Amino acid sequence: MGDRTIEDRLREEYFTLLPHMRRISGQLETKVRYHLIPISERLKKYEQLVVKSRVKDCESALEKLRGFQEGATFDRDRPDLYTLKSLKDLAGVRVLAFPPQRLTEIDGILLQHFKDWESDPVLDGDGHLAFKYSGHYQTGDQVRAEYQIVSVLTGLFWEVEHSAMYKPATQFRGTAESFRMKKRRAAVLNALRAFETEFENLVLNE
Amino acid sequence: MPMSESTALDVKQRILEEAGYKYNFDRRLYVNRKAKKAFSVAFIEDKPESVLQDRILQPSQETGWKFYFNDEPSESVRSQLEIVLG
Repeated sequence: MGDRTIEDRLREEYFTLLPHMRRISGQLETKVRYHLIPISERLKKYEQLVVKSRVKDCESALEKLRGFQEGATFDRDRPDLYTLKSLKDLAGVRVLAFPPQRLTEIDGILLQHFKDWESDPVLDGDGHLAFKYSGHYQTGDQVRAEYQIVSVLTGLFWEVEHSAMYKPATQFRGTAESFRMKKRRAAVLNALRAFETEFENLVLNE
Repeated sequence: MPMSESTALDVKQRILEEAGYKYNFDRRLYVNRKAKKAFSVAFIEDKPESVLQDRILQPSQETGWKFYFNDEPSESVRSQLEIVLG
């Protein structure tokens, strides 16, 4: 039998890490929900606050790591270079909020409880499209976790995009890097933000 | 995506497509099989248009592929990509 491929070694690593990923995503979701109770309790009718957790699936994790390499190719002579622990979002929580002005408030609250986490915001021309932080939930955790704070429509679009475009076959993920797709995605996100802002203005000014 | 970045990528995309490059989504490369040249997305994003145009105009190698990466690919990566790209 030949040597195992880098992909097979990473799959083994994934299933070793999976129980940790599940524990961390559950704990992170609970902590985020707990700290957002003061906001959840006083939401107005038109407002939304949704907290979701997820564990990255095995092939998505491999594909993401492969995509980080230039030419999306693992160096077979250097298997030691690759570990799923280098990914920041094996375990993750997403906070969806409406109206968008809630995002900054939520960010401020959570920042107090995740002070050491690394900020990696998703920016667009006018500011933050999403707040994003990653770090270790507890000292000694093998897996990094991530939480994102994003407006409802943008977050739902990301979910649709992922499940419709990349979920059927993870290698399609590379299409997202094409400049044509980047342009189309930016146009969708701009349209969604304009829609959300307009709705927000109408509701707030009623 | 900031507008200036979007515009810069538009220009680079046009330069590549006019020179016969197509996007290979599995390897995240812009590839011209006839010229046997490939540009990584990272290289294209990081380098100015003038560098891109210069590299496109450079003559092809007599044998094998020329890869324009920010970090020179190893022999192993190069040989895997040459098999995939044909």
